[in-house]
Amino acid sequence: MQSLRKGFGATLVVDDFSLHVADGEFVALLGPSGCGKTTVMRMLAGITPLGGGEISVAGQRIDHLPPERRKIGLVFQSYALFPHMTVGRNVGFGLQMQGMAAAAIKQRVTATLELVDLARFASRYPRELSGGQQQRVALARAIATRPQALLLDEPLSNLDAKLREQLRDDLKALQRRLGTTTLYVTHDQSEAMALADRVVVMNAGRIVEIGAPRDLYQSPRERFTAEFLGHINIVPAEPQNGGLVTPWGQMVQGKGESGPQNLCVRPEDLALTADPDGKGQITEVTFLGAEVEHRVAVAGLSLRARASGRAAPVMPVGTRVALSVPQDAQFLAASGA
Amino acid sequence: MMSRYALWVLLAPGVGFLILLFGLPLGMALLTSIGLGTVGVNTGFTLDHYAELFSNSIYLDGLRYSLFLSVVPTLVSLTIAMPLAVALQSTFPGKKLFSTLYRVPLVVPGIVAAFIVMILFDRGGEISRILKPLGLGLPKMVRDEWSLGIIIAVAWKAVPFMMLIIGGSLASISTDLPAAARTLGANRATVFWRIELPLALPGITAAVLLVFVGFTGAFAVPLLLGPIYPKRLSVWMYEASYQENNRGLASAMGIVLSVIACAVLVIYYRVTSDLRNAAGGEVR
Repeated sequence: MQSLRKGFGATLVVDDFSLHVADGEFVALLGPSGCGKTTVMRMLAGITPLGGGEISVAGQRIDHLPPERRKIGLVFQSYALFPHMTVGRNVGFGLQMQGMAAAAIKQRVTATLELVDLARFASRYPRELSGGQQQRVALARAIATRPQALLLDEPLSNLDAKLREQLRDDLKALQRRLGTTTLYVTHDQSEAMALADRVVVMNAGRIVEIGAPRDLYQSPRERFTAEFLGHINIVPAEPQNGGLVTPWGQMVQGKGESGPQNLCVRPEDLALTADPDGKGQITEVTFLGAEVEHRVAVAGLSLRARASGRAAPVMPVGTRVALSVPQDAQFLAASGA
Repeated sequence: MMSRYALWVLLAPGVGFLILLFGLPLGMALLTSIGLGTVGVNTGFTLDHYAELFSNSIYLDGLRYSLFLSVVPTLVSLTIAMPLAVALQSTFPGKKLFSTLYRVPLVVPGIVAAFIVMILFDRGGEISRILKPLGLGLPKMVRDEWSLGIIIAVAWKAVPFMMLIIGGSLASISTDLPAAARTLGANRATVFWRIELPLALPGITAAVLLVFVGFTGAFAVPLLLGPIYPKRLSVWMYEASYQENNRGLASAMGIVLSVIACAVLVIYYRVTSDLRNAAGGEVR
């Protein structure tokens, strides 16, 4: 994709969106609601006309083609199953459009439904299935035609948490097995990180940052990425002797910066130890099951610290604590503000 | 759970209305048509009225003409309304103005529509006057053999009505469905035949039936714009009833018309359910 653009009225919904997806890659488009990610997807499928830019698949321009000739499968957030057709006919629809013979269609439909474990539901109507089953039918329908690329628009957002996790794993296994190039739109950062080889973080119609899930989480360049991918503590630090010093006096490595910097510290990287002379004080304790979260007041800041495991200490409100951030778990935010 | 009595009390106004004003007259008409009349002369059981109806050529012509004037305008209206209803789903310049204007005939009484047609299309009407200097003329369109004037007048009123109902049922189809069909390789025409048409069929059925029933009972417009002969069966009914005081014959005509209307409904449902199956599966 090169410099995609799309505006509705005076508002530019998608601006200068360029992305190259490798063959067989699983890429997630991650961003808050209304950031333009669904619009990007609909432009790729050809449902929404392109406002500018070009789209190529395997070196061939496709942006001038109508959707039916693009060979791009799309799974809708609403699933968009045809209510007047059985599951089998839904899945076979695309094959019928390709002019495949009836016997071959039947075979392919059965094989595809087996992939999503729904073969015995072929003669049911979509309304007779649960949400999770409908979602799998929508997926089967999109992959039955063996598209060049598969687009998934928040496919799991209408399901409950437990089912979502299970289908997420199924989806990843299926994508690996088929090797279909996949673009996945979501606003759920854990979904994006769990599924994708690369995550594209979007905000207000623009790409903020692109990277592997681990890189983006642990060393984002943009503050938006840092904040969108989970909780983050922003700690101002002053340069001193070639390093940086935190408000509680800890020296960390710097890169020779001259002005004040913002350190970004994930809650799990902020270690607390009870210390009567510590600079911080616990203001809130929350037990979350797998983790314990402490809120610490230090130098006018309110920071979050998380510890996990059975041995994680639980310190009562008012406890004085010493804070420390490991040298390798911290990073600098690019623009600070 | 609601008690059985409460249910009956709640249903009474609606069901009672139907029984009283629809069922009762129909039952009385049926009895009268076989000579057991409470309204006309009670002659004892007889099928003479039906025999007369089916042996007299003026009544048979009337029956054929009645059928013609129910079926043809319905088909004409559907043929015009369907593409317009589809077109109204997309955006185009002037859509707002068009969507307001097309509803105007809905509030114009049928008799006014008949007069409009008469003024415009009759020999010596406005259109003829405009065409005359050009050496052109209109075919006979009022009181003509093919009832063109009637068809124009009733279709003019029925088209917006059908567009409203069909447009409503098209609009209720999620836009994701045609989009999904497109990504699966269907072109616009296929999307219409395989997705939109079958899903809008309940609305189309409703529109066709309501318009058809309206045409079956149409009386004033055919009287004004129709030919001297044949006359609609409804007009013969009126004459048999009020000019010849032959209630038995009039009732027989009424029953025959009712039976035909029911038969058409049954056939229509059969055809549309076949269409739904052909288009890819049963609906609801």
